[in-house]
Amino acid sequence: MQRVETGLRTETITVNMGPQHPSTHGVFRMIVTLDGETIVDLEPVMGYLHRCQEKIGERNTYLQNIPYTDRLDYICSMSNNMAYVMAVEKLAQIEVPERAEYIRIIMVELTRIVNHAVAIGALLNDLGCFFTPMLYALEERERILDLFEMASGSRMMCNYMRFGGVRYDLPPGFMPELKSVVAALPAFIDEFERLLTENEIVLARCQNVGVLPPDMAIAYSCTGPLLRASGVNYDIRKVDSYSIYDRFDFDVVTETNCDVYDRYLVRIGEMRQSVRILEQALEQIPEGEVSVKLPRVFKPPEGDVYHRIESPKGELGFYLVSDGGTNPYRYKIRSPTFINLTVLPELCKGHKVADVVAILGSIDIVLGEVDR
Amino acid sequence: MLGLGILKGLSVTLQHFVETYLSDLKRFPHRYAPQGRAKRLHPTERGIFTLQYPEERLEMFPRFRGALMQLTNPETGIPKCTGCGICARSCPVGVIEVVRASEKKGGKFVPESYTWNLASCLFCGLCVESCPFGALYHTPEYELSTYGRQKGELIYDLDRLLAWGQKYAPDGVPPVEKEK
Amino acid sequence: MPFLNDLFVNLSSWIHGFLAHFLPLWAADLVMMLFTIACLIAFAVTTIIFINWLERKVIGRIQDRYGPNRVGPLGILQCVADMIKMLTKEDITPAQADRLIFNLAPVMVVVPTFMVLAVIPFGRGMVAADLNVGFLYIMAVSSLTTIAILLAGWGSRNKYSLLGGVRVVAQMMSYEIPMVLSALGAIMLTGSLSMVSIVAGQSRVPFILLQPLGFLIYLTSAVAEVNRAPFDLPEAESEIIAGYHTEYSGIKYAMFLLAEYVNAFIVSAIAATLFLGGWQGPLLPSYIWFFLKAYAIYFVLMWLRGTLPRLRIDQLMGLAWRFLVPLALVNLLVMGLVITLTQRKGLFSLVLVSLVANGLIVAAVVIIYAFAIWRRRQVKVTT
Repeated sequence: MQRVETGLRTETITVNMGPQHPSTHGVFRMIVTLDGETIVDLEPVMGYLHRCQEKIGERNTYLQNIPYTDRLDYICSMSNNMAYVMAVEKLAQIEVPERAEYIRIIMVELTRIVNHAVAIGALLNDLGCFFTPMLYALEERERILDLFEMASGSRMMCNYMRFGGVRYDLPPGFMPELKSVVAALPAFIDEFERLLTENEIVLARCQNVGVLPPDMAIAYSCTGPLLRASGVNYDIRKVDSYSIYDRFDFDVVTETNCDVYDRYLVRIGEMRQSVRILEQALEQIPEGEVSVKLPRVFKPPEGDVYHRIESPKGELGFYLVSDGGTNPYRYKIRSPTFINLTVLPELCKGHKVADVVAILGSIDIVLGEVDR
Repeated sequence: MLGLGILKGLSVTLQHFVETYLSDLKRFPHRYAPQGRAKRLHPTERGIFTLQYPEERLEMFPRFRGALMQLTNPETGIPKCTGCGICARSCPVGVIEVVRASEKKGGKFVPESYTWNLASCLFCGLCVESCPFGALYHTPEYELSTYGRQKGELIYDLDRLLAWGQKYAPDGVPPVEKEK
Repeated sequence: MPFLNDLFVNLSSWIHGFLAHFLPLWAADLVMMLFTIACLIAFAVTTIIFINWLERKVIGRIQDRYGPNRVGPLGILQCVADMIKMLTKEDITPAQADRLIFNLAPVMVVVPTFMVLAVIPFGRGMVAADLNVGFLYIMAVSSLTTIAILLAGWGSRNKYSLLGGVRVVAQMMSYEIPMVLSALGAIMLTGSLSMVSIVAGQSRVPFILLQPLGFLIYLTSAVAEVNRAPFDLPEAESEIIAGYHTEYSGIKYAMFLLAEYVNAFIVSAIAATLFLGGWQGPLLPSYIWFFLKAYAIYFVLMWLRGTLPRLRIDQLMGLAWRFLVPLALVNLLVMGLVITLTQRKGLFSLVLVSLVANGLIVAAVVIIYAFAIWRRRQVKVTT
């Protein structure tokens, strides 16, 4: 920090940003020490939305945990379902029918589009757009949520996946609807990009702000778009391929400037890649069964398991210990945003107050998942 | 560069501004959808996206997980529920309480009382999924707010659940089973 | 048509004549003056109600929704409902606040707003006070808003308010300079500071044709001057909650809102007067032309608000001092040259030469900008 010696005595002030603040994406608190408008120190305080999810998980039966995973990252319930269900399947060694795998991929990639659209909308909102990009993103999200509701019965808390498949097959009329939504997605992304990608104010606000060097990103075990925007080519769908991702042709989007703007670009790029995956899945999806029959009282064998997937926000993992009973002995969630958030103080130091909200927005947190 | 990006963005918002009036013209002279049955704007259409809620409503999908209902067997007029309590045990938050009646009715067990506490319900649908007798289903009902949380308001008893069953599945088959 | 055109002027002289029948002349003048002031204040209050509604409608449309449409036809009474809500809300003064300053600020912020309205020509002959230093008066009076907002930020004893208040001072001080410099072009062309003569000077051609660049600079700095998006840093919602009016509620908050919206309308009106020819226009009555032009500019303000994110404080200051002030100075110099060169050469050559000169300035800016980018790339390659 450069200080001009003027003989004027100045003091730093401490500002409590949050837990009630318009752009902390929920109830997140930052204790910010300011020198004028410049950040000297920032201390994140988490835990305002702690709901004992992991302890509740030990009380619940395996099946009863699925609706609870919906409420982790409430924007992408489908991918949370998938991560948990796959962990249990790995533990109990359940084979999943092929059609169910395709349905899962379709749902998870739709979730990725929803999440990235909302994340970018919220980021631009934090930058000061008066809700316009956010509402355009929400329009597309509504259409996708309609599809979720059609298939699972609920818009956000889908509770759709089950051990060994999905709750029920896709309803009649789902496929044509899905095709028309997917066909319109590229146009939506294009328009979204036309709105603000090249905007000079966005460029000025985002470029070279919150630079996260690749080595620091790896040292803090950041994952997801945050890591890929730092130029690290790491996508669990590729490096530790699960489900049937090896059958699809898609690219891992990386950028090299490591700043807020690159995280924005990575998200836009991943939306386009998701559309590619969806188009292939729509062509390949076979007919057949969507679930396997399991005993009414489900007891996986003793043992422990960790399974991770590339959720829209990063590596989402479930660690389960089973003692052979009806409920897990230990239920641990490795939530991506909690770990991504630890890097926030490093990113913010030396920037202005206005940059803090932009950096926070670019990390894309959901407090339900951070505090669990 | 040099303000071109800003102009591009402005053109997008102006386009949306104009298109909302064009979509209004299409609907002219009506302001709301006929009979209040709105449909979501098709992905290729543009214009006003929002629905004018109390005047217009979306039709619920058959699978929509709304409030619960108890079905009655249309032939015997006795509730399908046997009071076995599997739904209560499958519930992650314990919002269902069932007491089985001590006497059989029409050759089958029936519930003595059945309460569903809406206040802490997750609407996850595990109860419906677990019911072995096909007695418990979701209604498309979603306007469930009340002024109190006592019995008869947020706490539903068997009679109210059965009344909804009569309303939404008078023939004993709920919409979600008819979907194929 | 002439009847409609001079409706308000005739009305006022008729009332004055009526009063003069049974009052001494000075008393009639005094009553008339008070009457005009009351009219202006009533105008300001109705304007904010209308403008607030219009803004919410326009931004709603931009975002694919209707905006307010429940209270009254097309939701026009929404703002009345909001006003009633604000007036009936509890009026809170924080325990730690500096009571005098905290309560004085909302009054101080409204007064200059009303004062500026006095010199704006709403139509032919429709000006409350035709000052010969009209523009100077506007700049001097509207600067008072700065101190009022600083008082609000300081007196609230809230860190967000303080940040907002400090931002206001920095921003409004900086942007006043390019604003005045760009408006000087119009004043040079007329040779008068009086708003009425500036409008009269545009009877043949509006000044926007003579100095489009000056108009753009004026508009940019005017948007910043009234703290609207993309320059709404003092009340940046996502950063510092509501800036200087974080702690205000009820009627005091309503005062800030009133000042903000009326100020936004006033800068649109001044831009219409200085560059678009004010109330001049064919066929329609003069005041209708004036409002059409002012609202056209206000629409641009709403449109910008519906599209753009906001700048950061250092970028905001950089834009003012490193870009707008030099550009406005160059523009001023070139306009001076153009006016001197084309003296007594007729209107057509004036328009032509000014447009060419403006084009040259823009070309020069583009070249300098491109050169700067090229230089930066060169530096990057070598390092």
